[in-house]
Amino acid sequence: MFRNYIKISARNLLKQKVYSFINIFGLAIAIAICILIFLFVRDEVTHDSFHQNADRLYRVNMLRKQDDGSMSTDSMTPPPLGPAFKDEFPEIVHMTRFKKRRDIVIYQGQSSRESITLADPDFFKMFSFRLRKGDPQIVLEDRNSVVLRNEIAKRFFGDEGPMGKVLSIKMGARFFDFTVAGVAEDIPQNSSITFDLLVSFDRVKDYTPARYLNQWTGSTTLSFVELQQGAHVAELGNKFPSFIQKHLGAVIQKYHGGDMSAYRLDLQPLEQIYWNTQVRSSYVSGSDPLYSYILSAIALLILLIAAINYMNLAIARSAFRLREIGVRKVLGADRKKLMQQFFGESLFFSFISLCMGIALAELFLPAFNNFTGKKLAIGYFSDWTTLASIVGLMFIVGLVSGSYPALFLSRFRPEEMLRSHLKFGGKSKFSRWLVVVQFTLSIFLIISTLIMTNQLHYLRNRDLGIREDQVVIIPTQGSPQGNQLVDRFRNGLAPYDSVISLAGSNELLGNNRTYTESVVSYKEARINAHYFFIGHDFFETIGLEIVVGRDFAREFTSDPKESVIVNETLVRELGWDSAVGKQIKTFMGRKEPLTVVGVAKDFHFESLHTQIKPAIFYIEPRNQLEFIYVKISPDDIPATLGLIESSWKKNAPNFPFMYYFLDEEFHKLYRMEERWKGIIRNTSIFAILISCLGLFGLSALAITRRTKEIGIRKVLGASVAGLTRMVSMDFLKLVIFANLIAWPLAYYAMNRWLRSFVFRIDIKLWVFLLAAVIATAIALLTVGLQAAKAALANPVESLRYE
Amino acid sequence: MIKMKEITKFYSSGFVKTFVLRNIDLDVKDGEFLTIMGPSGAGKSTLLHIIGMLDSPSSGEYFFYDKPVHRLSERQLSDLHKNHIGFVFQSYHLIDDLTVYENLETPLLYKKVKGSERKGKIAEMLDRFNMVAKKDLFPNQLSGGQQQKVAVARSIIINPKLILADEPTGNLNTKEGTEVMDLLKELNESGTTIIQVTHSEKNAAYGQRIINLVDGWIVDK
Repeated sequence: MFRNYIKISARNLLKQKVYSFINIFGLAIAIAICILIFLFVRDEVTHDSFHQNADRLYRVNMLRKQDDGSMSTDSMTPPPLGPAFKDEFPEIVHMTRFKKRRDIVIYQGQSSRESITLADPDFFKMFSFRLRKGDPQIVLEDRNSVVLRNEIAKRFFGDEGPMGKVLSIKMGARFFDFTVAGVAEDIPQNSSITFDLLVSFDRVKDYTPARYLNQWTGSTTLSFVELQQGAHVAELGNKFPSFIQKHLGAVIQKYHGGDMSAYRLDLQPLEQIYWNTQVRSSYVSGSDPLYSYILSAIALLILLIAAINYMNLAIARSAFRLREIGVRKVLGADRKKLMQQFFGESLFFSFISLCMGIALAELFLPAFNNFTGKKLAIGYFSDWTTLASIVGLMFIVGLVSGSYPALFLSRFRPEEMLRSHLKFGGKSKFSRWLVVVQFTLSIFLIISTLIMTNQLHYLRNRDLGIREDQVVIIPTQGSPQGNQLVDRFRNGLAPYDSVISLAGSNELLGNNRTYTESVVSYKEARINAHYFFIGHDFFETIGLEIVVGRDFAREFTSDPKESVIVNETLVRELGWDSAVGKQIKTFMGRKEPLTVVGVAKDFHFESLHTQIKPAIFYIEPRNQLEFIYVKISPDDIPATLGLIESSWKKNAPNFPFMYYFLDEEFHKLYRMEERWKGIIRNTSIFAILISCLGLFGLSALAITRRTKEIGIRKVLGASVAGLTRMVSMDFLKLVIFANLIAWPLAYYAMNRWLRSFVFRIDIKLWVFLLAAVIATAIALLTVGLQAAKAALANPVESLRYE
Repeated sequence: MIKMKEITKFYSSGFVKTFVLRNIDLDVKDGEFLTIMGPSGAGKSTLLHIIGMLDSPSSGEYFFYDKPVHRLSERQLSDLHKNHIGFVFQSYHLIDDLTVYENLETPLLYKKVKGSERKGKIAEMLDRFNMVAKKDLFPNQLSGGQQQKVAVARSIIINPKLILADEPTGNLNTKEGTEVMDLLKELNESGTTIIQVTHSEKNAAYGQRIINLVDGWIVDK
């Protein structure tokens, strides 16, 4: 019996090539998208669950009372907290602190800037990072040892054995020798905790005063703990208040007037770290689960659109298959058998689509990985969930798309079918609703794409208040005497016209930096302001205007000690009439009051999601400028960069040369939005493609059904244009109706999205009209061509068969 | 075999009832060859469909081998007709996407006949109808007469007690028509009950009894 169905399906497939193609190709694209998104979402939800003890691993978070009484959660904790936890709580079997820094590593005279992670010896006992070489029990005990990730070891040593080799690593001001004592397997993609070079946490002492390790005042490290099997988190949590009393009591007395509720400790399960974007987190990446929800929804919508095509075409084609069904009924098929046949057929189609979909998914995978920044692969046999999900997907698609024909067509009496007086094929109400649903989704996505593109264009082109183009930023990589380096550099480049201006700064603008924020007070008023430590000529270099007063200048030798420049927002927030000469107090660095010598124009140093905040500029006094900003002329940029590089090599020979462009750093603020725009744009392309495939098939069938009518009308004198219009209008009505539904939905969704930006475009009517025009034009093209073809045909042809 | 009492069939559209059959009383005995005649629109085909359980009467009683058809469930009806009744149509109604062999196989599949038995029966039919060479052809590769022969073969492959033929020669030329009628006659002689609907006096002559249907009534001639 089943073979019989397969045969019929296969023959149908070959006979009706166009419809088969529409069905299979549409479903295949949808399945490919689903597979890719499934991989993405699964990767997200299984984040960090690869650790064997994942359910017993926690991060200690610290909650601090804010001025307004709310608690703010911070993932950073004081350095002595971890060891004290392990000592005092028997429930805690392992503990590691975790810190990251970037610094220079030298091997055989080659220097590079690397990410260096510091962790306690328990690290490899807690986390399931496997070592290729070395003993996980002791590898971090020796403070002169370093563990390299396999990929990094390869980069340093090539095919040579890395064990026992010596790397010179800069920690703070000095270089230290480290012996490679272990090589770790590459870290799973979905691990929040990552490392390249791993050294003992004790090395913190190399670049900070030794007392730092015992200091309870500053929260500067992550602390991870592993609980004993069967230990209760809640019970452990009950012991925290007395722990706080014991260790933080003094701090609380001093800074919070003895309010013991000023601090709280909290254990956050490792597996939740990735999903929780509320907790301010350092060193570990996080992701908004919203991403996964929206992507899953999109995948299902696309699948739905493709399944609708299948249903629609199956319903439409059933007009031609009624006789077969009728005959089958006469020959003794009952409803169950017919339903089996239709489900069998749709499963057969979905199986073929699945094969094609997998092929497409493999084809798209590299681009998708590029896009999402992941390294996903379809592990067909490596784990059963993938295979099970893919086969499950096939059944869902098959059953959903086969359901309507199976339930609907098996219902008729054979006698009616044999007379074939039933009408459908683009005429059935259900079909039409499905088309409306498809186009509503497509138009919604088109409008979203247009608005997102506009907003991002606006963000990129909005005047930030500075001239950010042609500004090169070079990190000084902690090379000693940053200020002198800037001066040497300036002198070296002075003869060249292509270098317009040059300045040092402590901040890399753009790229989602969080700037140092602290309190400024003027008389009784206190406000929060962002702090920028800069060198001379900074304002000129980035093209920031001083509106009142003066810039910092070398001839004012007391500037570093007593002068500051503030921005307009700060002046406004403190309600000053005139700023110059005002004395303010700050808590960054100096205790003596500082004098405002100038006011800088407001500029957007943060993303346009937020308002401009008060800012305050100092001349960096501590000789620690971390970045050099160079304004260059727009002519022959590569040559100028070459010039800068050779000057760098001369002045800082041990440090690798790197550079960024300021405008690109600002653009990076909107990476997330760019990615979303890409996702929505691609989705809308696929959605409209699949919808049009469906419309094409449906209209082709409707035209076949109406061939006789068209012939008769032509005989009666209808024009080709009139006939084309008549047939097309039937479908255009649906698209226009879909517009009416999609518009308010898109308006609502996009309005919400735009509200996340303080600076945003208005939603204009033309966007909706354009989307309508696009959708209508594509639909018209799809239907109109076929309609015209039918209208042009000789009416005798179409009437002959009746 | 068949006992019908006051069978009525009407279609209602809006407030208008259109009667197709009115108070039909009909008895058919085992082994009969009955012809239903009458002008177009007299309700012949509807009556045939009701006899074949493809359609149900609006009122009246219908007993098939003493089973009250008018009271049976869909499932029971389906069982009854797939085991006892074969159909032959004017336009053959073969399944276009299946070969001759597969068309013959279909009713057996629905009856859940075993594979080997199926093969045997189909081979026997192909033999009997001289169509062994044509078993792998599709219906549209055959002439009308050949298609109708396949349709007849398909209808008798389940050994039905009753064959219902709706204008079986309507689309055929004289020679082909005669062949098909001879076939039906032969079947009748070997014990199968046959009810045919026809316009043709010549075809009617093959049967033993004729009933005339005019505007839904049975009229005596």
